[in-house]
Formats: sequence, C-alpha cells, structure tokens
Amino acid sequence: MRKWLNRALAVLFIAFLCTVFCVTMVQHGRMYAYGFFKSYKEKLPKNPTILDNIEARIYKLNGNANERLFLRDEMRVLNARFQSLLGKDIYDVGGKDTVRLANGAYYDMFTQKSTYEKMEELIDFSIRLEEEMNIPTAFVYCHGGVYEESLLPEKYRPMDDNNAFADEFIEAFKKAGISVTDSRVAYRTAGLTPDQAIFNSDIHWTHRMALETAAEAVRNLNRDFDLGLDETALDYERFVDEVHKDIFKGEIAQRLGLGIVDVDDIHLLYPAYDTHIEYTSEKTGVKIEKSGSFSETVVDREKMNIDSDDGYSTTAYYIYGDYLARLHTINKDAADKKILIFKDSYGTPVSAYFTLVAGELIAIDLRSTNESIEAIVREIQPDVVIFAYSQQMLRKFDYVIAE
Amino acid sequence: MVFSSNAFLFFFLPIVLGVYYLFRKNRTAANAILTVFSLLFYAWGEPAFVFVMLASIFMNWLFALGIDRYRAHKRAAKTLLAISCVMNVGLLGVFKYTTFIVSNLNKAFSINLPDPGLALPIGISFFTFQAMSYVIDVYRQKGEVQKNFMGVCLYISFFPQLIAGPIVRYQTVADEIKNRKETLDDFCSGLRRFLVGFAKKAILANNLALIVDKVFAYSQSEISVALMWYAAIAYLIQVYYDFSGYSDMAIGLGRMFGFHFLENFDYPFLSKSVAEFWRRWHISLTSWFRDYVFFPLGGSRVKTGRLIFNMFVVWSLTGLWHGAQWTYVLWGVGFFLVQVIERLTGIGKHMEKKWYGHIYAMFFVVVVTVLIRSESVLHALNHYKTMFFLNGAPVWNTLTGIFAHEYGIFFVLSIIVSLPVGPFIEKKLRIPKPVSEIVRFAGLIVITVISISYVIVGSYNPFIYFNF
Repeated sequence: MRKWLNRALAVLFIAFLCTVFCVTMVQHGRMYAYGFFKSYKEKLPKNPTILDNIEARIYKLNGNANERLFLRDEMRVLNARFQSLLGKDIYDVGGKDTVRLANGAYYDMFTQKSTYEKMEELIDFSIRLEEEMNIPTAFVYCHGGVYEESLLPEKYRPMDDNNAFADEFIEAFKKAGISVTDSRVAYRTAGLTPDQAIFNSDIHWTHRMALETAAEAVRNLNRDFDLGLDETALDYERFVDEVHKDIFKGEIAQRLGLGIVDVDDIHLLYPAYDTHIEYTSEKTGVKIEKSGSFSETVVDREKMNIDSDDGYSTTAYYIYGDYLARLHTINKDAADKKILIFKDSYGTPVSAYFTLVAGELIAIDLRSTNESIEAIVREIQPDVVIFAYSQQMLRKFDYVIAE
Repeated sequence: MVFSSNAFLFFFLPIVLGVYYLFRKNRTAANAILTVFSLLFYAWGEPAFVFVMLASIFMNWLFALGIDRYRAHKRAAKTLLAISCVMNVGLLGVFKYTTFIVSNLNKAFSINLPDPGLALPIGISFFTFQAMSYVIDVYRQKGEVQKNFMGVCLYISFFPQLIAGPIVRYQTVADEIKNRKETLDDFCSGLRRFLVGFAKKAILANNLALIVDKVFAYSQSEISVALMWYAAIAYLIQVYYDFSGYSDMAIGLGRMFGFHFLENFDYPFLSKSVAEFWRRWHISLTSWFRDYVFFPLGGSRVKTGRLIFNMFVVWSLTGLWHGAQWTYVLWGVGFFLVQVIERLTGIGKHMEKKWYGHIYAMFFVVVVTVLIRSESVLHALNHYKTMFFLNGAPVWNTLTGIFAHEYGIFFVLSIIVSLPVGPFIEKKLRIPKPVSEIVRFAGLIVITVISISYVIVGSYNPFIYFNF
C-alpha cells in the first residue's frame, strides 16, 4: 500500500510543481525575461565583470521567483490562517513579525536589534559636505507604525525596538549638529490621530502623515538654514483632501489576507491653490515629462486603479510616484532653491510635497543607482541635501557614501 | 541555492528532473546533465567560487589518477596521497582559517599582519572532505578510479549533498556513478523523503530559528533564566532539524536520481551518553573522522595516553571543521573531555543502561552547544551565567511569556517529532498498517502544503551553514 501512496504523492507533488512553473511562466514570463535580459543592469556595479553580470541576473531571477509566482497570494493567506489557527498573536509572514495594534492596524515589529555603523559614516560625510562644499544636510526621519506607545499592546513592548532605535539615531545626528526632523514630533504638532497617520493594511505611513512631516521639515529648514521656503504651501488647510473609500489593499493585507486585515481609504491630497510644475520622472531609462498643476504632474492616479482579480488597488500608496523613479521638478512659483533629496518609499510622498516649496527639486532612491552619494551631490550642487528615510531602510543603509 | 527556496522548488527542481529523465538512458548524457545543473546550483549563490570548487575537483582527479597509475610503487602512491591531503587541507585552510589564524597571531604577538579577508566558499568543508574521501578511497582500493573527469565532478559537486552534506563517501556511490538504476519506487520514496526533510526545515527549523536568533540577540539584562534555557534547547533542536532536514532532502533527491546515500542521523535525542549522541548525530562526519583520522592515528587499541591524544586530535578537528572560531574549538574540546571521562571511568556505558542517561546526555549537549551559537567565548560565558543563576536574572519575565506563547507549539512539536513517537503510538494502539499509512499520507500532504506556504511567503529562512 505504501508503494501506491508514495506514487500518488509523487504524482500530486510533481503536478503541483509543474503547474506553478507553467502558469507562472504564462502569467509573468515577460517580467522574468525583462529582469534577466534588461533590468538586471540596475544591480551592476561600475565596470562590471562577467561574474558581476551573472550575479546581477541571478539576483533578478531570485527576486522574480519570490515576487511573481502563481498562487503566491493564496499561499500567503493560507499561511497566515495556519498561524492564526495555532493561536499565534505574532504573524511571521514574509520574514516580518506582524501584530495587531490597539486601533486595529497591523504593524511589523522591529524585533531584531540593529546598529547603524554606516550612520557614523553618514554623519561624518554630512559634516564634511558643509565644511568643504558649504552644502548643509538635513535629515527627515520617517517613523513607521507606532506613533503612540499605547497602540502597541503592553506585552509586545519589550520585544519592539522601533522607538528606541529612532531615539538613538536622532540623538546621534542632533549631537553632530545636523538638522533633524522627527515625524513623531510632526504628528504631535499636527494633532493627528493614529488612524490619520498609519494605514491598517500597509507598512507605510499615510499621505497625510507624510504631508505633515514635510511641513515640519520645511519649518526646520527655514529655522536652521534660512532657506526662505514657503511654509504655508504645505498647510493642510490649503489642500484638497479627495477621499477614495476602501480601495487600498496594502502590503500587510496582501501578506495576511483580507479576512484578517481591513482595506484602507486613500486620501489624495493636492493643493487647492494654483500650481505649475515642470515634471520629469525617469526609471530604468524610461523618461516621463509633464507640465501642469501638481495634480496633473506629480499625482499618478493610475496607481489607484482597481486590480480586476482583486477588487482593490495594491499600488495606491504610490500616487505620488514610484519610489525607484528619479524625480526632477521645476517650480517657478517657489523659492529659488535647489534641493536634493535621497529617499526611500516613505520619503517618496515627502519629496512630492517638496516640489511645492523648492524652485528645483531632485529626488533619488539610492536603490536605483550605483553612484556614490558624494558623486551625486558633486554633480548636482544643491543648496541643501535632505535624507528622507524610514527606519526599515536605515537599518540596512548600505549605500556607497563616498568613493 | 537552497532547497527551501522558490527558485529551487518551482524552477530548478522541475527543470532538472525533466531534463534528466529525458536523457536518463544515456548514462554519459545523464551524468553530464546532473553535473552541469549541480554547478549551476552552486553558482546560484556564489558564481566566483565555482572555480574554486572546480580547481579542487581537478586537483583531486589528477591525484587519484596518479595514485592509480603508480599503485605498484607504494612509496610514490603514498607520497601522492600525502600531497593531495596537504593540498586539500591547505585549500580549506586558506579560505576558512586565514582570518582566524591572522587575528590570533596579531593578538598573541601584538603584530599587525594584514587579513586578506577571503570570503568563505559555501560548503567548502563538505566538498573538500568528499574530495579527500575520493583520493583516499582510490588509494585504499575501496572504489574504482574515475578516468573521466566528469565522474569525479559529479561525485563531488552533486547538488543534493553539495552545500550541507551528508558527506558522501566515495566508496558509497562509486559504482552508482556509472551503473545506477532509477526506479519508479525509488523515485517516489525519494520524493517522500525529500518532503519530510523539506517540512523539517520549513516548518520546524525556521520557526525555532525565530526563537533562537531573537533571544541570542537580546542583552543579558532582558533575558530570564527560563528564556535562556528555552533558546538554548531550541538552538540544539533547530540545528538538528536544519541539518537532518537537509540530509533527508539530500538522501531523497539522491534516490530520485538513482543514488543511495547513507543515513546521517538516527534519533540523536534518544542518546543516553555523549558518545552515543555522536554515534547518532551527523554520522557521515563522525565516520569520516573515524575512518580517515582516528584509525590511521592508531584508533582505540592503543595505550591510554595515545588514545587520549587520538581523541583530542579528532575532536579538536571536529570543532575546527564546524567553524574557525574559538567557540567551535572549545565546543569540540568539550565533547573530547566528556567522552574521555565517559570512556576512562566507564560512566558512559553505565549511563546507557539507565533512564537518567537521557537527561545527562541532553543536558551536556545543550550546554555545550550554546558555545557555537555565541559570537564569542565571552558571550557564551554571559549566557551560561544566565542559565545557571549567576547574574541575578529573573527566572521568568514578560518576554519569556511571549516566546512561550508564540513559539511554544513549534518547540513542543519539535521535541515530539525528534523522537520515534509515531511508531511507538502505532505499536501501542495496534493501529492496522493500512490505516497508519493512509494517516501518514494525508498528514504528509497537509504538512507539504504548509511547508510550501512558508517558503512561498518568504518567512524567516536562515542558512546556518556559512561557517561549515
């Protein structure tokens, strides 16, 4: 009997593997090919060797195998259900420890301790930049998840290193005399509630929270460097708040499934006042040029398009642009200052709002380039350099700072 | 590439199986296919180090040919064997121990020798030992020399056992490289074995790793005595499931391609003495050291002093083989000391007859294993202070409760599955064989789906063989 059961098992398993392989190729084969033959170049260092070339292609294939796979979402939900069935309160899905906060939102805890050796280098670089090139540096810290201690159930607090890391990090920068904007301060200044600041279903902060942080950063930049940026330009009261109900299925909802996590509204914020922006966005050689108001240029409404299979948008967080795209804007109505922002996905809407206060703005995600930070700064020669980063990315900040 | 990854499971495995079985009747083509895929498997993680492995294989192929050719001239053959051993150990030494040696020399003599900072090729300890096994077995005439380079290449680089063992002895598979027979039943039972190993890794080892990696990262002030013991035990079981899971997958995959590897684990947690533990744990490594180091040194039929020396050599090398750090050396020396005491006093044999032998053996193994999970000897000492109430740590704290609640089920399940509980229950309850087979079949399907879900969602999936 065992022999026949083994045969049945083999048939089932091999059929499953082949089905996943074939359907994945049918559904995503083009993206696999694109990664293998084209976009792998993003990962190449300067003067790449054949081995670098092979490594970059393997990296892309691995990335695609993890991201684009038939039944991936179903398996994620199944896994979350299994963990729920075991009575776990902390979901380990996608390598994250996810818990439910007091307001019903889901939050990826920072349970792994982390140091920031690279940060010392970044601080030294910032000081050198000011001394040698007279370019000041400012840091915008984008906090994720827990804006109020009471949100995280007490029993998890000993495990979570989020606020402790943020405090240490900000303290180190302030001690070195670098201008720092802490989004937690922006949260309190704006008098927001947790529901206004964080999504239920996504790891990112809300666009409103990003706006308030950008506004706080502008105030700090004027205070510290006397840049003369228009602080009223980012006043929430001067914005249209266009609410799109229950459309956003963020990354956590995709991981755990909708039975466990609720979808989110999207608040599309754009100025009620007149704006005119020359907009250029470039990603992997594809350039988009636009000219017009903020909502006609910076805002990408297509990101809110509903996925026909799913009934929700999974990309709505990126209504202000793809995080990997290099952004260059000219706003003749704003102060004649050239601002360079290095940012991650949290910093992407912050950069978008900065287009309203900077005469010229360049925003770059360091994941999209192999150039060193110093080389980019030397090439652009901005009036100020801003780093807008979340804790997730600060913990793995491994970019080349100087050659 | 690791077995518990999407790339392996949904791309590499179906492709290699499909292509292999398309050409399996042509043995040369089938071996070539397996060799090429094995090199690809290795290159997936470290493209540059494929050349290191190929150089090692080429070198050993030549040495074995030389030994075979000059077999009649005993001295020449022996010299070639000695040179090959020195070169293999040298290769391992350069990549694995240079940093360790340089840093210790710098500390000991207050000098400043530059550390070349060589990266460690994945699985170098495994493939080097297999390469040595090939040359030694050819010298001892326990396996036929491979005239064809690809034969050696396949034996050493065969992907199922390449990066995490078991260390397959040449004599075990020498014949199967040329003359093996793939059967449907072998394929199906191999697949079943693969799935068992896959579940061990994806469900048990990876969830235990969550306990271990988090707790060992906390500062001592945050950990309770209970939590430290919990993590220490979890680490031992994690290593067991990681290692035995990989061994199961390797044995299963080997069988799917017609190879039959020997077992690598035999319920090690049933052991009642430390010596018994090592007869059941990582059997391929202990038997490698026994046959290629311990016996040539004289084995156990020597005077007591010499026996102690022989054991010291073997266990120090076992420690160093696992990692180039003092923690690993001390770990090996710890096992040496206890086994010397067990052997000289007869306490080992005594314990093996008593029920409390289990407690004695497991207590010692758990405590010693903390060494190899610690970053340094100092860290290990701090962990020991917590474990033995020497630093005022509380017996229990909130963190302990969270870990018990969140991972307790995996912890308990891991202990149960590591023991022959299933066969015991079947025997006690006299469950008819067909019923137990159907239950196992259904259980394996459920477990496989859960394992696949863990791999697809990209849950925590550490690779703990970097040091080995």
